[in-house]
Amino acid sequence: MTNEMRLEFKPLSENEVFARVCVAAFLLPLDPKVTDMADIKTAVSEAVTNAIIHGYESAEGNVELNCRYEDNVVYIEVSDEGCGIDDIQLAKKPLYTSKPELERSGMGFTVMEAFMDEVEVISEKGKGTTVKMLKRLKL
Amino acid sequence: MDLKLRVAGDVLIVNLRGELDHHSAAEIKNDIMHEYSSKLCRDIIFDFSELYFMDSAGIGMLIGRYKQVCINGGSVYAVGVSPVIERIFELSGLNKIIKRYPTVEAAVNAVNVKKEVI
Ligand SMILES: Nc1ncnc2c1ncn2[C@@H]1O[C@H](COP(=O)(O)OP(=O)(O)OP(=O)(O)O)[C@@H](O)[C@H]1O
Ligand SMILES: [Mg+2]
Repeated sequence: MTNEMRLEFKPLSENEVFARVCVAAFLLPLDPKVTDMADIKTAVSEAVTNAIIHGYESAEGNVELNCRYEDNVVYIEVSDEGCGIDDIQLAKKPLYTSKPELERSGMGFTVMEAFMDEVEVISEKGKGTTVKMLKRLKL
Repeated sequence: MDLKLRVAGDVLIVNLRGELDHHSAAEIKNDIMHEYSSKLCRDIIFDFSELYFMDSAGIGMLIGRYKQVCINGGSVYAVGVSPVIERIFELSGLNKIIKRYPTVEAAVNAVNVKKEVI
């Protein structure tokens, strides 16, 4: 079974729940295990929140979310055309955050990497960021 | 996110119903701390038995409360942590700073026992 969808939305914090619930609804035909569904929702929430609060901060633009599945493999891509990431290695480090004053824990990328099977970050300073994630659902 | 706050002695009991993400964490943080300060509380018990989702924004919110409560010599307790949210607790090390109890009553008793010892 294959299927694909794309969402585009404004970088508003209200859209964090919108994005993860949409992805969950899209995956329902695969009848994922509760833990797989929770993992994917959490990873989507992390990537979308990052696009909103770090990518755009208060700048204009849209967040794009692509989701596709082929049999039991789910592919998710979250993109922004925001500020981009200077040092991806550093950004991915557990506990690293550029906004400690805002009660960020710096665990977003660590959560994505723990909950998904593959995570790839593509980013260019001033151009934007894309996070590509893959998860193989348990049958 | 549905937030219910209750004070028992100098313990603030926070009941969270719904999903804890960056959006809802920002909404509830000030309400929690306002009640905590104005009622001169010491400890905080979070009741998560009706919390269905939490991401890293929840980690940041809990560490923030932990730091503030520590200043007053208090502790943060969590009740009703579901298996899904448990994974976030393990991954982030929240397990090491937040004590867990099966029920709010058990957590309140633990707080009171601690005070008697002191
Ligand atoms: N889409 C993005 N655009 C620009 N910078 C980003 C983006 N995503 C992440 N970053 C940078 O990478 C850092 C680490 O991200 P991560 O999600 O791990 O932590 P955080 O968002 O700071 O905190 P938390 O996710 O725990 O609330 C961020 O602080 C930010 O500097
Ligand atoms: Mg983040």
